[in-house]
Amino acid sequence: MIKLIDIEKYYANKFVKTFVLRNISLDIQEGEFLTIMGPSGAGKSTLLHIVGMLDDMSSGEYYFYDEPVHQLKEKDRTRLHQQNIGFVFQQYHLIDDLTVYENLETPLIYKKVKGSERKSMVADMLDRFSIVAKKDLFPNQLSGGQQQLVAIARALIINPKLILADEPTGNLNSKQGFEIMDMLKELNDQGVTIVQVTHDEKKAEYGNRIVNLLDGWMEESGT
Amino acid sequence: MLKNYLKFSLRHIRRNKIYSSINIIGLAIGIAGFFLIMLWVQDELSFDKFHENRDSIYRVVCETKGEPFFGSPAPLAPTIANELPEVLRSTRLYRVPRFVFGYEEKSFYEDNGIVVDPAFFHMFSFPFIKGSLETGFTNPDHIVITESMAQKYFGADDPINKKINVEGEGFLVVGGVLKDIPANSHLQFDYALPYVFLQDVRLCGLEWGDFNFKTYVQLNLPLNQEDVQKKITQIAIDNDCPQIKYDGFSFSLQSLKDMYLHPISAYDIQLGDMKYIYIFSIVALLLLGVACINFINLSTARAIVRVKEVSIRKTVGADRRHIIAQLWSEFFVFALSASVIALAIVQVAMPYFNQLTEKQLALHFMQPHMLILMISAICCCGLVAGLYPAISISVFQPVRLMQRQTMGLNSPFLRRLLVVSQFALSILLIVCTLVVAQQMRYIHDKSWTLRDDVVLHMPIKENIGIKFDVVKNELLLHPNIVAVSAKDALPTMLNNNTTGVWWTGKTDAQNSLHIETIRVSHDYFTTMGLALTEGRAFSQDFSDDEGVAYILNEEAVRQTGLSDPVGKSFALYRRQGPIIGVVQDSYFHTLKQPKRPQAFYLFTNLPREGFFGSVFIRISKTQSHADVQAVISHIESVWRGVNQIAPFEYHFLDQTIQKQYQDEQRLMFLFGIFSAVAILISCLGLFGLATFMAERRTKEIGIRKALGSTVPGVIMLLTRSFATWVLIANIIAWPLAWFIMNKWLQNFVYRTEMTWWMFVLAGGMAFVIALLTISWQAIRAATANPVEALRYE
Ligand SMILES: Nc1ncnc2c1ncn2[C@@H]1O[C@H](COP(=O)(O)OP(=O)(O)O)[C@@H](O)[C@H]1O
Ligand SMILES: [Mg+2]
Repeated sequence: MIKLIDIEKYYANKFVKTFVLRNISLDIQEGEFLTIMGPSGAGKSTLLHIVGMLDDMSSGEYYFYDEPVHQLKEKDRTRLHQQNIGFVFQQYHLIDDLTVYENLETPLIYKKVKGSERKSMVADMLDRFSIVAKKDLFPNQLSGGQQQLVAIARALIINPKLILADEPTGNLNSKQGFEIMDMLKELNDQGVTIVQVTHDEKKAEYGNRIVNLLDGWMEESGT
Repeated sequence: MLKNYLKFSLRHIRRNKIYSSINIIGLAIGIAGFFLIMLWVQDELSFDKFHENRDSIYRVVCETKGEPFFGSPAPLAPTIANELPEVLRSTRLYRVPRFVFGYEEKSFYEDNGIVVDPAFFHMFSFPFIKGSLETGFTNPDHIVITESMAQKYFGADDPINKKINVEGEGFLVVGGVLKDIPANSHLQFDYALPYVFLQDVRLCGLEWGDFNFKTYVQLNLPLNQEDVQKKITQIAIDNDCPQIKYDGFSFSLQSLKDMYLHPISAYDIQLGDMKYIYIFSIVALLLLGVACINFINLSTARAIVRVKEVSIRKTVGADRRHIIAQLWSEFFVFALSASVIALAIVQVAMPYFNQLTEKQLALHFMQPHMLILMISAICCCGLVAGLYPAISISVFQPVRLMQRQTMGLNSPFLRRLLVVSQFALSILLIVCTLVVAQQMRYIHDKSWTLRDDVVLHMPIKENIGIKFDVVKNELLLHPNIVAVSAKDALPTMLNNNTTGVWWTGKTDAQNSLHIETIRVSHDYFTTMGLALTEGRAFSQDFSDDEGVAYILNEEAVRQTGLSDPVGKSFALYRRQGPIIGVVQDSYFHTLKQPKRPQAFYLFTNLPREGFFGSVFIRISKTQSHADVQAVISHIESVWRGVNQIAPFEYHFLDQTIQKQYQDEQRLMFLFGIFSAVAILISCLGLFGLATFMAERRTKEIGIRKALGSTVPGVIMLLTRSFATWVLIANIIAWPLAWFIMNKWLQNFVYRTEMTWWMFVLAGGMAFVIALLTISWQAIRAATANPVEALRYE
């Protein structure tokens, strides 16, 4: 599904290039649940952003299915990303000005889904996550766990083939954390490909493959 | 989609109240100011446009060696209309001096009458509503009056064929009533008399040498202006018009379209002035500009906060166009609400604005050009001002969000540039206002040297002239009246300016020198407080003075080149006599005009020569208000003692003089107000920016305070950068202000100097305003509890 070949990422200022990622080559199969681990600053998030097409790589090739992402125009990349990828972040990143309902609706608007269809999709999602009662609240009126639920619901609403989760349980207590992990696992069982970043060995075990990053170098540990 | 954009825009505005209201109010004030000024400009530009023949009407102007002159001789108009096929119609226009009109027991002074040929009403669109040109404008005793004048004299009665009493001596018969003259006409009059009136009552010379008339012509189009001008000049030569034939003057044509805004000389009907149209248009644009700069500043400053929202939108699938559309719809909502508020402000401010400008402006929403103006204002503000913020916000890579940093956004060059330019504009406006105020004060100080004393004047009407000696003696009976005299016209008016003078040693080169010749009665210089620098004043002790003795002013001595003038000969036309004294220059006319050379001589027949003159009455120094009132009562009783018809009327001379600057002063006052508004908008922006900066730096301030920084230390931190900006703004604004105001001052013959303190004061004011605006925020931030600030993150 995803094929990364010799990806490099560096930040250049006047004189020095600071490498964040070096020689990353990675294949991700459809239906996989991949875990990326590594110390803080190793480049995990950067890698996730590149996979999620939110950031450019400095060099290397990236194929999403068969599309050469590194050669696509911004417009086409946005389309690919719009149709296929859902993001979940440690800090939830809901839009403060929008209600739960509107937060869920936003990706559909950008995807140009029709109004009536949108309504039923949002209603389904609210149902599925049991947050119907919260639909008119703003993010700052919700607990952290509830916000993360909304964030996952928002990632799922476009029926993504791939979910990228950057330390999704980092800000939650352990009970909430495991509930979220169970939910990801369930999604994976339904066929959604998942890439997660975590520090936690236990949560890493939810996945079926682990990649370690150290100072931008990648080493693959067995399952 | 659009509905969503608008919904979220409204939500965003509601949820960021301070930011939104500052932005909207700033913009609204800017747009309101812009509208008001544009209404004024539009009105000024609309002058004389209502005439159907506006494109083909011209005024004949006399080109002299010096300034052009708007006079022409009486025979010119009919002669050119007869002889030149290019001239379709022509009319003379003579301004009637002040008359007292009466009807039954009502009587009024009428200042505003004209004598014209019947063709006048064919050429200009001043329609009759009662009577007609054919039946009511043919006899020497016909008069045509405006609606309001008819109302004043006759109320609801039918004015046609009513008889108006003139000065108690004769009658005029109302032959027609005109629709009131539109306010935007450069020709303003309350009544008109047919030219034949002048053949009965000789108010002025009617020969080829007497330039007492304005000549208007309607020409056949298309036209070769050069050619027609030459032909008119040739006709004057053929008829032995002396000024044209011997002095080398010529005639030219000025289009009706230029008459109001391009007066040909300082003595012209000085009504409008293109210069002010430019100045005010620039001020209008500045207002809009300052408001837009605010808008851009605040919006881009907010960008830092919006990075998060924009990035999230991008991670859930928005592309750049979505973001720009979202932001733009938000700015559009801002601009739209600002416009609506602006229109409300305009509506509320309109009566005051009209009072200030002495106009009758009104906002007509349905006029297409108003709508176009409005829509373009909205588009301009919403879209142009939104362009930079929208683009700069939309280009964020969404990853910025995850990195929690805003590299390159902390010190956007453009935002600094905008703040600096906003300050620079404010400083510029302050300097301009100061210089203008200083010049107005200078004029006030300079224009009359006798401010401690009071001089009153009243017209020589009815029997005042015939019984002048009696009037004078009776006036002087009052202990507070120290001197009384008469002059042939108000000193603010240019009267009898002539080249028909001669003096010992006059050269050929001086043939075109105009000297203003002035008839006065005894004690004139004492009454006006003018000192003689050489020789003596007119005196009853020298019976020869009457009719032949001359007193020149210093400017006349300078321009004639006379050395040791006292005792030399001087002549006006053929009246030759000795120069007996030299008097200091006076500044009764406006200081936009150069000093006038003047020659004074005594009345020989005051009732006749002083027909349009005034009596001047000097009241001794330091009188209380009640004393002045007592003097005025005394003057009134003297007036009533000799006059039966003419209503009593008096004026203070200093007010008469100041009136000449009324238009200018009014415009300058307006200028000051709009400068203040621009500065206010800048402050609003600054306030918003300061609020925002303080908010953003809450965490930094918290850390600093936790580390032991004092409150003043924190305030310093926040104010320092603003201080630098103000300094740079000063450096930009000063030379610009100097350049602009130097140009403006060139309009005045007598002008104040620009001094350094004006610039320093303006800079200081801008600094203090900035300081006050931001210190509120700075203090609030500095005194906040640091723990709370840190928890915030
Ligand atoms: N815009 C940037 N410029 C320079 N260095 C950056 C920039 N963004 C991230 N980095 C650096 O890249 C490295 C990897 O960051 P990140 O991918 O967030 O690590 P992780 O998620 O593994 O903690 C860090 O050392 C960080 O300092
Ligand atoms: Mg990270």
